[in-house]
Amino acid sequence: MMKKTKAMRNVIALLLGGIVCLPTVARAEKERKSPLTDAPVIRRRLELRDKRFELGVGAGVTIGQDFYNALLVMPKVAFHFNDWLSLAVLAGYNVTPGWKSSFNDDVNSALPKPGTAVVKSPLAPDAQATMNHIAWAALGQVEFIPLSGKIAILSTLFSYFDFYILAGGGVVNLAAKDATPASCVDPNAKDPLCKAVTGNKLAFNGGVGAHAFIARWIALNFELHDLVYKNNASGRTVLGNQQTTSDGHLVPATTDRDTEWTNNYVFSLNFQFFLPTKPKISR
Amino acid sequence: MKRLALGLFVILASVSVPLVSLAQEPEAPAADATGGDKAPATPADTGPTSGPDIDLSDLGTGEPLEPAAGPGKKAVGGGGESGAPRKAWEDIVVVPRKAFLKKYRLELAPFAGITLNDPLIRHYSFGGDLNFYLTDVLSVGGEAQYFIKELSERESLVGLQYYLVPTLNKLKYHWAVVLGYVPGYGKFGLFNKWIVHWDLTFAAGLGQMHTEIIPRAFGDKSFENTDIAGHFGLGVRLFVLDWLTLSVTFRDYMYRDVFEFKGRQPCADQSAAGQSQCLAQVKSDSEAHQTQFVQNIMMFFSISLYIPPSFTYRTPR
Repeated sequence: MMKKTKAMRNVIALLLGGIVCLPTVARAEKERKSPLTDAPVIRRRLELRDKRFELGVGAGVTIGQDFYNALLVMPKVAFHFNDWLSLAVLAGYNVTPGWKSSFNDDVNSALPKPGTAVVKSPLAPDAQATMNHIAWAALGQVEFIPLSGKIAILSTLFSYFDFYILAGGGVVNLAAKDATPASCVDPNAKDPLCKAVTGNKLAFNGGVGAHAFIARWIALNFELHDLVYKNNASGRTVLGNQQTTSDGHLVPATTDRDTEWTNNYVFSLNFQFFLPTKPKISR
Repeated sequence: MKRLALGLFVILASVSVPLVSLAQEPEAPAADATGGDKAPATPADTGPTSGPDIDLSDLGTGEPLEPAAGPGKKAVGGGGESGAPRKAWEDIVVVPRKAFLKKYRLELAPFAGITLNDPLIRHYSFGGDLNFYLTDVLSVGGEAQYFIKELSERESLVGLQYYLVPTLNKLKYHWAVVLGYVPGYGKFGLFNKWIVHWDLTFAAGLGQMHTEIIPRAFGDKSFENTDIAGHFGLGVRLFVLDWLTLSVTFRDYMYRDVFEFKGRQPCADQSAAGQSQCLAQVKSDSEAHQTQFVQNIMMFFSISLYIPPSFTYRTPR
């Protein structure tokens, strides 16, 4: 009987010990959890983009074009669905259609001038005529903004910044002095000897950008676009195809098959205004 | 039995105390005012109404801020949104320290680069930077790189379309003494989950660019140039670890280079001595008539390793 009572006491003591210990262990677990566990990484952050319109104008310049650089006037309008996603439309109008690249100058100076006897080389004005340039562009893009923060410049100037990647599409209009000059037309040939690529071209638009806020309602907007479209900037044969004219001559043939996908880089700097002018502040 | 009953009472009392305390939310601990060794991987309050690191700027407006809760509601910092339970972390101000210190550390940065602005010839570059930081923002060092050339499609089309052969030089190698400066330091929230520290880098260097002409006529001898080259660079550096950073840098190399003389004639004397004399004459003519100022804009990606690999903060938090 005594043995039974002793055993019961031990069982009760064990059970009670377990009851005591369990919440203590649980409490220790809970105490180990940081109070900052659920906190956002940045609190009371200026949400400079969330539900805001962005509109402004600036200038863009092409980089690495073969024959003509372009200085573009570039208006841009965007709406930010939240702090990290926006939809933008922008346009570019070339105000310097005659801005030759140094390579163009080199070619132009090396080619024979009118009145010179030539065997195969085109005359300089004929070569110039079919070199195309960007006349204007109309683009749409989705902007994804994973990075936003602030920067101290020389420890005295402070600015809020964001970086984003952009993707979209649009139309690029190409123009040339003379799409098919008389020297490129052989009445006995099926295809022209040279022919500038002009008109509207469907373009893919990809790139990166950044906003540097001067104030809560205005920002500098840097963008680097890669406009990918089919082009033949020289308007001369790329594939090297030749044709025999009806009078038996062998001459170059320039067709639509001579176009190829090209990368065209545009760097732009805009002043963008944000509406409403006061941004929200996160928790 | 009395002893057992007494024991049970004591045990129950001891159980009930922690259970009651568990029912309450734990009190928020006070912010650590003494500091530690490293910046914590905890949230940073960068809002405009908090402590010292918080409102770095009002961006010049001076206007009062409008909280996310809307004009009719209380500001979060001033007591929380009406109706919304106050979170424990809202009472804790976290001010992370500068994530990376560079003073008196050596930076070894292997890099790869590419030229951007020549439509006819592209160069790939492989090399490295070696910089010593005198302060956290000022460094002295050097860079060296070796180039590999690639002729572009446009270069091949020049002959087909215009019956011309372009006059080109290839880059061989370059070295320079470089002064570095860090004009800006910033931090980003990545998806508002992680904080990434970064800085802006500026560099100016002076050194030598070694180039070689690519003869227009197949079989002609080439000559090399050693040009004094200056450059400016601007880049972005992301801090990954205490001893590792990633950088993207743009540099503009400027120098006067000598290209192949446009009036070069075939060498009549095919002997070795004659060839050598011809080449000397071509080089002389080229230097006299075919010198051109060149700008090579390049983009580099680099990984920087720092020695010593760790650092210690010397000021209290």
